Amino acid sequence: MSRLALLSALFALSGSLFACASRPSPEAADWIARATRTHEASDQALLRGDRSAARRVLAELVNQAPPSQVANDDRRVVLQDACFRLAELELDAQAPRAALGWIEHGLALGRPADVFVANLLVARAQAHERLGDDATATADYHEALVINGALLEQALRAEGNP
Amino acid sequence: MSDGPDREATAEEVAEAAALAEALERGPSAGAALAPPTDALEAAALLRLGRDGGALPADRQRAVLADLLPVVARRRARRWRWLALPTAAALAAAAALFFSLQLHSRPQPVTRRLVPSVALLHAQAEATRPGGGAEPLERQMQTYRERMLAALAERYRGRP
Repeated sequence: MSRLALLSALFALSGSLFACASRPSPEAADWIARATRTHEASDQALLRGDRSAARRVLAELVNQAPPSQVANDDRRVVLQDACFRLAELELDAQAPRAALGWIEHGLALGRPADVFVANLLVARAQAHERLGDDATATADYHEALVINGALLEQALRAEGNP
Repeated sequence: MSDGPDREATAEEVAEAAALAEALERGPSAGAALAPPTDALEAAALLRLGRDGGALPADRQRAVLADLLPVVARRRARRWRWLALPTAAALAAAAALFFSLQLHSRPQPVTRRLVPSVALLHAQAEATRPGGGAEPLERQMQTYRERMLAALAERYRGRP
């Protein structure tokens, strides 16, 4: 009897864990929808020539904590992409130090070898270049190109060009 | 002559006497080499009953207890053994199932599913050149960003 109860409890536990792992999340879906709207609003503001509005909406997205239901890697890519856009806006506004602030914020979220990290490294190299720090800029360009090369190999394989 | 009281005891009689002495001292023993004669045992039991009502002396009680305790402990251990093995097996199976589910149900990083296009990577490489513009990169990123956000939205809305 006790064995049966124990096995039933274990199966119930496994089932609930599976249900939790694969359950959709309205909070996370809302946050992704909000990120999508933010980029659209930023694009519209840039089309109007309103850079400060573009910067403001992107900064709001970055500064507000995402819901806990969003997986870490998903949170990282969305926020790193927004940080990259903010850094580019700051560089356009001749504010490389402000750009570095957004870049470091983004890189602090994680540094796997993907397109978002490579973008931030390119932007950081550009910021250091503007600040006259060519050595650091060169190192960042190099790191970005190493990631870029690895991604290019994957892309070529994916597109059927080994 | 040979049946007189002075005759020497036979080996069988000596063994019986020893068994009787043992039985009187500790009670009948299954491990004894030779069982004591039944009539003598009955007489001894009556004698002991008349002497102390059949109660075991303290040292005998301790000896019996010392004999019994390991037997009881072994039986208790055997009683739990039948439960321990299936429980351990069930726990191991549950742990394997849990880690397997964790591995297979964990969503793949979106960047692994959405490989950036060659055009995007070309624009990124161009941005690292002196005087390389950021605009081509931003244009390519816009397309990739839309794909990424759409994929994430599908994941969290629960679509396959």
